[in-house]
Amino acid sequence: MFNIGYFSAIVSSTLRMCAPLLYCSLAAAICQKAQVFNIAMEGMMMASAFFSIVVNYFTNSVWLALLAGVAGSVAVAMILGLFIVKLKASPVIVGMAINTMMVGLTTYLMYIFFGTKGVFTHPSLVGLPKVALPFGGVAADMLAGLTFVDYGAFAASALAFVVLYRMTVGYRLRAIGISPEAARSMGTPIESYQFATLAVSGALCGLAGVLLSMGSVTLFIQNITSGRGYIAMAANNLGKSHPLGVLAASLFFGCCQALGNFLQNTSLKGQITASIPYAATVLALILFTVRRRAARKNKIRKVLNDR
Amino acid sequence: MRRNSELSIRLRRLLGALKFPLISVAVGLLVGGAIIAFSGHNGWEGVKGLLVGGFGSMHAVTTTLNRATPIIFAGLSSALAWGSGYASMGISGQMILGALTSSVVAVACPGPAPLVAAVSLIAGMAAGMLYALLAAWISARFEASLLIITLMLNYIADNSASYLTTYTFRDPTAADRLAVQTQKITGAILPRLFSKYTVHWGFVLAVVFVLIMLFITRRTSFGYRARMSGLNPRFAEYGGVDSLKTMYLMMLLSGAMAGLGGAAEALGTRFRYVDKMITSPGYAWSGITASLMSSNHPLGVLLSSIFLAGLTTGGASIELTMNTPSEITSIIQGVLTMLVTAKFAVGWFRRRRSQRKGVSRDV
Amino acid sequence: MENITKTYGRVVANDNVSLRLEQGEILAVVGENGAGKSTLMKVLYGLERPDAGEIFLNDRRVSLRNPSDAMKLGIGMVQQHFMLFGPMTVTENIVYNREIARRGFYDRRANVEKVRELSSAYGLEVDPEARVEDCPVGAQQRVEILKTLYQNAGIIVFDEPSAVLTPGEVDELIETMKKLAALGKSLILITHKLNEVMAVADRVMVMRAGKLVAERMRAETSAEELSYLMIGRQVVHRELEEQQPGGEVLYVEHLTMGSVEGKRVLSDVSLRVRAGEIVGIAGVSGNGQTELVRCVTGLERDYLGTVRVAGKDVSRDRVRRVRAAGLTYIPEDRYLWGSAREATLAENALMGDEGTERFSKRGVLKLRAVGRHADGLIEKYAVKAASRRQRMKELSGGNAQKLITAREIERDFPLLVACEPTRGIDVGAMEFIHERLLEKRKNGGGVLLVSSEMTEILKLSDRIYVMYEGKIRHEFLRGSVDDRKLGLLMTGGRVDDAAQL
Repeated sequence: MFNIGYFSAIVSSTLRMCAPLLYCSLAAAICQKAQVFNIAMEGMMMASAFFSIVVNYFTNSVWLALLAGVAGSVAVAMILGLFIVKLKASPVIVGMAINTMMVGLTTYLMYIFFGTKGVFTHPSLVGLPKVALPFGGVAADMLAGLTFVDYGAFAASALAFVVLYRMTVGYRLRAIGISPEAARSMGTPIESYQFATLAVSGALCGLAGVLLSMGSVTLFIQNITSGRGYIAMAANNLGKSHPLGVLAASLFFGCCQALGNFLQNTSLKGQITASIPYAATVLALILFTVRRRAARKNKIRKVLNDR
Repeated sequence: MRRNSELSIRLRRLLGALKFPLISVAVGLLVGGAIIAFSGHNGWEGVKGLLVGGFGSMHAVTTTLNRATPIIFAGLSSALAWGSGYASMGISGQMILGALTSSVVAVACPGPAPLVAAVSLIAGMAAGMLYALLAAWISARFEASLLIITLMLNYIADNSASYLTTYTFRDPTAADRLAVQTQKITGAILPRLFSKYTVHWGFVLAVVFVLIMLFITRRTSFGYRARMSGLNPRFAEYGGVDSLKTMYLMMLLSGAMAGLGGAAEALGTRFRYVDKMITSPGYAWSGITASLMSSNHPLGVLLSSIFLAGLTTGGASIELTMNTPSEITSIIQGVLTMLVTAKFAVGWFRRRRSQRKGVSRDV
Repeated sequence: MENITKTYGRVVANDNVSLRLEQGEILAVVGENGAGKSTLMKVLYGLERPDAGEIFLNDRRVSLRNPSDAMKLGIGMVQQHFMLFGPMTVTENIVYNREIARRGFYDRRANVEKVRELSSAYGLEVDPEARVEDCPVGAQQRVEILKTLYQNAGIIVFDEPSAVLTPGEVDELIETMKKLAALGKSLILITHKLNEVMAVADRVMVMRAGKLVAERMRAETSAEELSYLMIGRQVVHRELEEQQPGGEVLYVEHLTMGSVEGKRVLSDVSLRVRAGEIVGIAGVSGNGQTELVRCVTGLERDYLGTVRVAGKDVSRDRVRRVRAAGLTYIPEDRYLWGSAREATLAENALMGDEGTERFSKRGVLKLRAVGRHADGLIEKYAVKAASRRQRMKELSGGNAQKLITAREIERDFPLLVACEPTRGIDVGAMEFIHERLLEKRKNGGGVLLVSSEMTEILKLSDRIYVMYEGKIRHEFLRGSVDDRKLGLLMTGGRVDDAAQL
């Protein structure tokens, strides 16, 4: 019953599905830590995926394409920052506007540049190189087809942990998220930190986008992101915005997606597994409050009964 | 003398409310024109084409009104919720369930066509209401952000509808074996207003409900309480308004409008439920934009929805004539939305200096 | 600080105030709420820029543009509402922004060591590794103090520090302050609690209505004199008609309420208002009056004790039911609670009555009646407005208050709770509102007047309760207490021969 080949295929698929999710949920997590409500991961990913393909097409250099992709999503992040940090507009509205706009914009430009609205691919496009493994066997099967950008995602989450929890920059960032008033009273330039955080989150989503367009296959499809940005939001929620929690959540959701593909013709249909991230978030929010309420009630009761 | 000043006050207020949306529209069109110019066409022609294509002929106007119908309902749904201070993003999911439910009921329910149509519409409305109630309950009971709950529920609704349409309610008679849709409704549909054009009775229904919602929000005690809750929740609490009851009722109304919007689209334009029929054209999002532009006023929602629908029709039209992709519409709409929401911020900045801080909800 | 002037809009918060601080001394700045003490300190700490005036530090002129500047110059502030990061440790809070780091990495051990050193040097006991949110309030305050010391503050400002402390913790704080002064730090204490001032200060500055009115050496003055200077003297000449009070309209017994921070905000409060009388609650803002009103009106439902309105028990009931029992309420903050700025005057005038028979029929509003009601209020109370269709935000503060007052008084219910009804409005409007309150009293209504304006209380009340630190300390009949005594009691003074009822 237990087929090792089957299993390693699932693991490999999970890792591949997980990487873009992980990048985006890390982006969401660090923004959350800095009190910036960023829901534009979809839009940033989309921008990156598109511009990397465009540059790839015109220069045939995968490295320039990667840079272009990241630059594109950072640009989007800066626009987001302008509206929600500087102008203090509603982060929800602006974020969603950016997401829907990016779909339209990329489709529009896709038509202008390449003359098609659906899928674009071209033999001259260069994909991301897959990492050649020095070993073989089961382990190699499980890590098959991963690019260094995929590995980068996991490195990024480790890096995020170190920066946030071991370096002074991370402390100050987290402090802003805990209490912006207190941080301000100590003279911290909150807006600068928030912009910087948005820029980094833009870069992370940029790497995710690059994975989508040049990772396992090299192309651009309309709506290539297909909701991953929102799943990343869910992963961020589930993982409590902690780099390691987010890693676990992303792996979990990546696994769901992988399994969803595999179990296509069995009882668990694709739509059901696709719903898992969202249902899980709702449950997590519920459970979180149930615990917090009990703690609060006890505290007040204690005061009234003491002395 | 007094009458004059009253009139001028109302006029001044109306103009003041129109100022920002008009500026945002202008800038949005400007950006659209710029993008069209960037892609090698005449920007000015493009913008003109958009407007003419949306409103310039009987055919255009009726197509616009047809597209406006679901947007009006979505806009009402959004205006009701946001106007009372509740940041519900659940319109999309409620519309989807409304569309699906009504499609299934219309096919399965026996009886004379008009009756079945009415029943289906009501069923769609009910579906939207129940889904909104679910979100409201979870949010209230567990102190969870309504925003996030409704966002998540949207996806669950979309996926569930997709699942049900693929398996349970799949159209057995479809010529195209891959089409994910329910069976076509014959008879229990919303008939067209004019035989030549696509606009159907759903539009009339939309206008009727605009008036109903106008009445409810401006002329009933309940509407008053809800509006005050939106303007200053503490004031409402101080006055004895039961915020929980208000929230539930408002969410029910909001869900009803969304569900009805989905049902109207199913029964009037598509005659079935097709996977992604609500999410693909982005009706829910357009509805939110419409309510933002009009500061949650029902009449304003009507006008804004028609305008946004006109943009869409115009976009499709210039795609044919100028070979520019119709996605230009969503770009313009996005810019418009961002500017309109930034307007609150600018006004807010100025007020911040001399005013105390009020309460801000999850917006 | 010399000739500091600061204006907010039309309000002059600081009017040509000069302050002098010697090294190693403890200076107390006293005054009521709104006297301008907080503003002065905000200027000192760089949170606000003065419109006029200059600041000299060690005889050198300095310019403070933001808190960072102030901190760099050695000015530290312990604010009333702590600026702490709850989930982080004591150490992390103290060293924030000037952490000891090795190549960007936070050096946990070095920082903890540093904090321990600091803590023992100044005798301020804290647990460096504990999470701030788990620490008791007194410890949290020590963390705030250590924060300033870590930044090498030479001047430390304490803004109403004892507001959140238990009596035991207050004694500890006083000891701490004496120790710091002995070690060469210069302290400024902002407070309205005169017993603390007398216990710890070297010199006292009294502020009133934005001006510096007096300066005394502590040794040469007394709490009585200080409260007199603080609250001012406005002789009250008003003869109220003698009236026999009627039945009870408000009855509060054993009201106790706790807060999440762990302090008892209200302790066993009991009071009574009868028909045809005005009962005043005198006290400096922040001693539990706000919470008392919240409990009485139903806005706060988590308390112990009994509340009865017009004979009906409404303990822990919702606002709607409490109001229905016969309560109307002029809230403390006219914009935060009392109105909706974006709504029209007519809409604002309707609140509380929107479901009554007079204004609605089966849920539908009778718009004409609503309009007439609003017009009537506007006219009767001389609210300066062009039309009832104007937005509330277009009215001046005084006129807005008039409309709100009109709405509540004209409802003609047995009980009116009026909180700071004349705060921030001009004399004319103030007189007008006082007249209306007396009119209500004459017509048999009962009024609970909560005000930090002592003269208002003395002028209008038949009976006066003094509230201090969440307790009712005294009860007086009209005429048995004068402004001096009342002022003293309001600020925590003890009167040996308090007139009892």
